[in-house]
Amino acid sequence: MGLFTSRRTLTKTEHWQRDGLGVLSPETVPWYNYIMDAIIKAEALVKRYGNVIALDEVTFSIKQGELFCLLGPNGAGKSTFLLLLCTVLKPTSGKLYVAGHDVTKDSAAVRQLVGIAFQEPKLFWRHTVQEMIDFHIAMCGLGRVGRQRAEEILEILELTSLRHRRGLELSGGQQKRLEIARVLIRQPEIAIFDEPTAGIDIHGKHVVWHEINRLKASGTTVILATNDVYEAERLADRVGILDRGRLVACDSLPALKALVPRGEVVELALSDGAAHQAQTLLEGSEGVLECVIVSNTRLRAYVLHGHHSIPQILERLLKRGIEVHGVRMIEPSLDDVFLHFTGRGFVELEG
Amino acid sequence: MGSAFHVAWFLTANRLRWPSVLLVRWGQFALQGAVFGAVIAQLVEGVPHFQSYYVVGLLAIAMYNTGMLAGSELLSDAQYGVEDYFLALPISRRILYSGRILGAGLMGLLFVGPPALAVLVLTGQWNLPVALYLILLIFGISAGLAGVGMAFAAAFRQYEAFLMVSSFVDAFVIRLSAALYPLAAMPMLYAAIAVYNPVSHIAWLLQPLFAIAPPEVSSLGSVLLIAWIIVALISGGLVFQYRLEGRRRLL
Repeated sequence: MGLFTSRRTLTKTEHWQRDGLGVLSPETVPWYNYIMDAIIKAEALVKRYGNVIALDEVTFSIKQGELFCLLGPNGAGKSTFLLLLCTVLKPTSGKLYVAGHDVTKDSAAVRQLVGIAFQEPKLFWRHTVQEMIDFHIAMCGLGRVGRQRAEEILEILELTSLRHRRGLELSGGQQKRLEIARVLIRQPEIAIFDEPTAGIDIHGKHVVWHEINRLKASGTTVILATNDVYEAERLADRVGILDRGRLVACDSLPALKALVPRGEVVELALSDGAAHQAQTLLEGSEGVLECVIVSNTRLRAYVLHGHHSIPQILERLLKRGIEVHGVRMIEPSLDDVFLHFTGRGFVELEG
Repeated sequence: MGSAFHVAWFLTANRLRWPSVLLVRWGQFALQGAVFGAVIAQLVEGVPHFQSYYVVGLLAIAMYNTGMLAGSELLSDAQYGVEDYFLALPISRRILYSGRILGAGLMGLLFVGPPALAVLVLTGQWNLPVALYLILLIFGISAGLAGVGMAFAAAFRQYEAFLMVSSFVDAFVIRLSAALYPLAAMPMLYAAIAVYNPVSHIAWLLQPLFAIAPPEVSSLGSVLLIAWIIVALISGGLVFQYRLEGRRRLL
């Protein structure tokens, strides 16, 4: 075992020196404190599957103790990044460090720090919930404390009554909750959740969000991948937006929102299929900064002054015979940040 | 090594949850040994007690198959995502590999152990030391051959590709062995190849326990087989490690 884990853990500065980055100190590097706080650091990270580039030169860092949210549509590369982080995959090129450990060179040390709840639950169909939990506790070396925590977590996630059911007898939501329970029981230094609430009912989502927040409060660094902007907005300290393998934005929510075109957001409810026609009509017209199709029946217009623009927009649409079923002004949200940085509407993303 | 035993036991418990698979395997063995063995024994001349020879050969082939099955299980687990869970656990690849190897040994005991002990009783060779030695052989050989199966699996990575190649290799390895036919009864060329075939050596190692051959026949075979198993385990581990981590590293 010793061949895989270095006996003495290098300090962060030693790692930087080993990697040829010279002597770092608050005097020589202005962003010293930020770098020293980074528990995860990706440098020009690339992952290819044959000809497909899943991650393309991704560079960013995650601070210790923060809740970092990776946001992006399906196929953006979120899960690939998380699988690299937990050493299931290895990078094609670039570097990825976890607490100073290179994921390729010190994978065993990285796994001691990282716990992941996969997007698709990785359950053993013929084992019971209790057996899977017991196995997990044994493999993570959690002992009695782990067993006590397991009781608590199973209760919170409403899995206690299912403990004697086999994996194949659980519903999709129950499987997902069991997958999350394994990370919560382990309480790793770095907890990864890949779309944790996909397939879970509303009540379950709130329970999971609460537990993720509780985990973060205990000092764990949490990385959460999602394509649910509401989830990201609700939980994240910082957000990284991945699109087609590239990190297109990475900052705190207020900072990202500040980058979206200034103005107000007007959302229009239209007849089915009218969104494209309305977009063509409104884009470039006076007072309208940008138009994004949210769905076949919904169009979002970014305008300079909502109250002034709404009558003009309505008049223009009605003149062309486009029926408007509803108008509302909304606050710019992470939705808008996402649309702005990916440059694509939700309809295109879903397609 | 505690974690490796945990992995091995967890994989074995998974198999025990599906007893019908075990029953089918034992039934298949009984059918082939009792019915087909009896029929073919009528056709073969010049080999005394050919049915017993044939049945012991079947045990040797079953052990070889167990090793290859460990490889296909690895890929099937990868296909269903369970391997990702194992790979993300806070254990080294060495422990994971050892766990799978021990698991293959236990799988060998489950699949081959009961039929082998039954044959021991039916041939009148039952006694406790022999039975224990037989169990040890089944465990060791199955675990050792799992190294080959896992090296194959890790090298191919794709379940379908592995099945195609392993079926092709199995066909040659099993047919070009002395497990089912003695060397003396084989054509010269086949016999020359069968001498170096690990399945032949497994059969030769088992035969004295069932009083089919004198013990001295198996002494050279034992040495060769043990050497072969050690090489299989180390190379399996290296390929497993290399394919997972992308670089060479001694176990």
